[in-house]
Amino acid sequence: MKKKKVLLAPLDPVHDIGLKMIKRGLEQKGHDTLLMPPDHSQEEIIKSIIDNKVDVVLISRTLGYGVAEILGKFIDLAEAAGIRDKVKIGIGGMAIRPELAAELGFDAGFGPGTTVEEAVAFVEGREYKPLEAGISREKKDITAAYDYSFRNKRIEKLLDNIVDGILDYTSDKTTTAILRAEIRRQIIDSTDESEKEKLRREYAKYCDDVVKSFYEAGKYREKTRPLTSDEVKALGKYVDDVNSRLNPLTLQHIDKNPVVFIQYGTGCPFMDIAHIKSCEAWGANGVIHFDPSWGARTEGFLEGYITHEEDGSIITYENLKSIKESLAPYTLWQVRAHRGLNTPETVVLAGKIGADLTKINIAYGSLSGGTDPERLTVDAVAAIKYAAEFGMPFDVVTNEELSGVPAFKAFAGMLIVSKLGLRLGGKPILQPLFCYSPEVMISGQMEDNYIDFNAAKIYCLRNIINAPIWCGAPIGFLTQTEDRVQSSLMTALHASLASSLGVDAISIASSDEAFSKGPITAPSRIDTLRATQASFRFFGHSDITPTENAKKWAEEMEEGIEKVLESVVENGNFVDALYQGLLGSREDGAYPGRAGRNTVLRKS
Amino acid sequence: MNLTIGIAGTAKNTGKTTTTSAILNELYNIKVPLGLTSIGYDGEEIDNITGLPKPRLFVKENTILAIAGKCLKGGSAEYEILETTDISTPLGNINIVRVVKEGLAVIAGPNKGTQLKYVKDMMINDLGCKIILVDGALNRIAPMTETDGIIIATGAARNTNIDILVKETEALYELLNLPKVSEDKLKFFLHADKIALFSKALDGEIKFLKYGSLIDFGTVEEIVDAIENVQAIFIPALISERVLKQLNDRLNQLWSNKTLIIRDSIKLIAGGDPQNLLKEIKRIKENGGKVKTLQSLPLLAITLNPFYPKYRFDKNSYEPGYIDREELLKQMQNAMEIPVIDIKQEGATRLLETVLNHSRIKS
Repeated sequence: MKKKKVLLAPLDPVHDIGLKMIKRGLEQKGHDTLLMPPDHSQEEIIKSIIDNKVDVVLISRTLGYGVAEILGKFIDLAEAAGIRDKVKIGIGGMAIRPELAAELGFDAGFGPGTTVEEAVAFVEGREYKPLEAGISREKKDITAAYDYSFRNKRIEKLLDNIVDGILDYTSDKTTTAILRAEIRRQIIDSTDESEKEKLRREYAKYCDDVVKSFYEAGKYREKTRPLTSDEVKALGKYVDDVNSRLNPLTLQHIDKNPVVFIQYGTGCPFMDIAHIKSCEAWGANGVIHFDPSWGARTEGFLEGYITHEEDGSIITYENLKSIKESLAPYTLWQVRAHRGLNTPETVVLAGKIGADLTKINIAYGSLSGGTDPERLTVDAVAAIKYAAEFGMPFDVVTNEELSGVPAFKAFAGMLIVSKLGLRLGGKPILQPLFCYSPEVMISGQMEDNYIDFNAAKIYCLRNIINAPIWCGAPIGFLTQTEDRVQSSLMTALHASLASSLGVDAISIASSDEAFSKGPITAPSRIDTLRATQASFRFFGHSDITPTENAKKWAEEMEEGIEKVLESVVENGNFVDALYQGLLGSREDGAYPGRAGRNTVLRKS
Repeated sequence: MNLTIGIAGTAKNTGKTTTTSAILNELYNIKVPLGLTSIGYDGEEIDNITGLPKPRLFVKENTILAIAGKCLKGGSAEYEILETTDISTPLGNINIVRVVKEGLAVIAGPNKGTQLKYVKDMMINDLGCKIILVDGALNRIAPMTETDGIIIATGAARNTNIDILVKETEALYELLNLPKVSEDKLKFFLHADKIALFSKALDGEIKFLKYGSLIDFGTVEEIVDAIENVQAIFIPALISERVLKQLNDRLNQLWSNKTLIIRDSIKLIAGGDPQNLLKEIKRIKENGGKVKTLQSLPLLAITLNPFYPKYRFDKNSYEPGYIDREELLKQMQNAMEIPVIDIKQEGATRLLETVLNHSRIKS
């Protein structure tokens, strides 16, 4: 390739750092470079181009109002001076985009994130092919490195005892949710429309009135409507368009940095997808589907592309499918099935459509999620079996902590469901909270710092079992304020603490999540993603060192868990233990849910 | 008969695209085979710099466009690609397309004069276009030398002071109306690409200087040293306002009976502020010299836009602002002998008549 002569000129009073980096890159490739000092007039630059017979000119300039005209003027000068056809001219700067470069008349535009290699490719007149970042953009199986062996054998034994009891208790029971899940599976598998219709009629029998009237009379619930065919078509076009432009950032700086999930559930599948695509562009590795709270109290699912004016996005085969189809191939997707009256069917839909993960926890779902303990226990056994069948790991969330349940009690519940999952062939993921919980507000473990108590949770779980850990949900909960910068910083610091502790995944909130007073905004999602990325970059392999308290509290937590499990074993019935408050009491702030009470059926 | 019309602006938001769009609609009414391109980037929803909404371009079936690859799916219009050229832009190579389904278009076209010429020739010679509209970009004007005449869009976005705006536009008008070198003398200059100093007889000795542009003080000194025997100075490329002033400061009355010849007025206008440049041109004349061009670029009309993006310091953003429309129109009309039109208010009928009139004169 012919050696090029390149003039690098900052059309700017001071800034030329970018040009200096490019100069070095060009010289390494054997090109001749001339870097003009800053603050030269446009005519002087033109004269230098002519005097030095350069092949390529790279201009840098920070943009503000009026500067576009200055840059346009420069191109005019070059053209009027008769050099425009002989010299390639590129422009770089923080506000430069290809569209703007075209408007200004340049041959190329280099905006933020431009690599030296990109500028070199322009100089050499070849197409720029971005190098893949060091961390591969593939779906990560966060369970792969764990054998689920118990280090605390006493706890393992207690858990086995409780799991035996659960399996025994549920063995002769079923629910309408389990029946619906089987019918749904047949509907999905069937290719015969008349058979599908027959199955739908059968399905409707096991639903409550709101859902029944949908299948029987085509009625939609209030505030709920189907997307029009134009909207569905526009959605497809939107996704194709965004995918064709998607060039995502990478959040992780080192291999050890956890996988980062965001949560969506705006109520509208279209808006969800827009949020997902924004988050993918800014480097999110996974997305979590939030369903509406009324869905958790309703027996049965609707069908079709449906939107509604409330938080949480309605679970239907079509809605989930359109979301799945919008995802980049490397994006992990979780559909939650941790509470409500449709958990087995949710897992069937998620599995059939190709979700990577689900979420199941009987203790949380029945103590803070509003679902009756007995009902959820019977449903969850079926849901876990489906998760195992579809090869979907599931996290066992402990958000009952946010209701006031102390961590050790929530962890006892999490470990019971995890052991149940292992027994049924599933792959559970422990999900401790990284939050400023009511427990620590009252007891003061976070008076000095947010590090020790969160670290204690991880130490405690590691002392018990070799299992994957996914901190949630979202990290930094209740440490954020309505100031987006403060919220983003809190998220980022919690993310780096999680990374330092070697956890496998985290869920992060947007910077306005707790204060948006309505749907959260895409820019506030980008706030926390960028903050997390910056924090990973900042810490690299450096660790955050907790104080001695962390280990002390971890031991106390482990003792607490053991005592709770002993009390459950003593009680002899897991479901009854939930009603009795052994895994979180009314005094703690946990109330056994009422949705689905007395609906468990004897198997015929 | 064919005609290529450039629509140039004096700044962003002065109404270039509104003007282009209005002429386009008038031309659709009279069903003329039509070509359209832009030397910048047009038709986007939101301004690249101020973030304010922008007017958009609606194109009808059979219009021929020159458009960068990445713009093909930018609007709702659909195209048949007739040719993909080698002309590359930051948004991909330029395609020559025919509109097969009407709709909104986003257009980034060739942005160099030579490329514009290539596209224009193809539209006229191969595709039978009778009128070609070239939408401008920002304050850029240099590629417009390839058009047969220009419409200038100016307004509050350039300057919110009406007096200054009128004086500046008047200066542009005068600079674009500089007299042409007589046809019989053109041959002496057409092929020179360096500044040439002609001795008393045009076909006599010619001294060529190092540069084609007047952009440095060294060139000024060379001219001053040789001026005694010079009858004409030909500058084929750019003329910098600052350096022209320096030349005038040194020559003063030595301009007497000498002629400054420039290739076209754009080479002058690109080099500085129109009012200052006009001042320097007047100084040459006052000292007994003349200024002529080889190639004229008629200014056909002025369109005015009282809108400007008003910066709000409290919000760190822009919002729409307006100056006195009536006053602007009145003062501008008094200052110039060409149509001055508020395109949003008046529409493009009179503008189109002016354009077509010009094409009749041309043909």
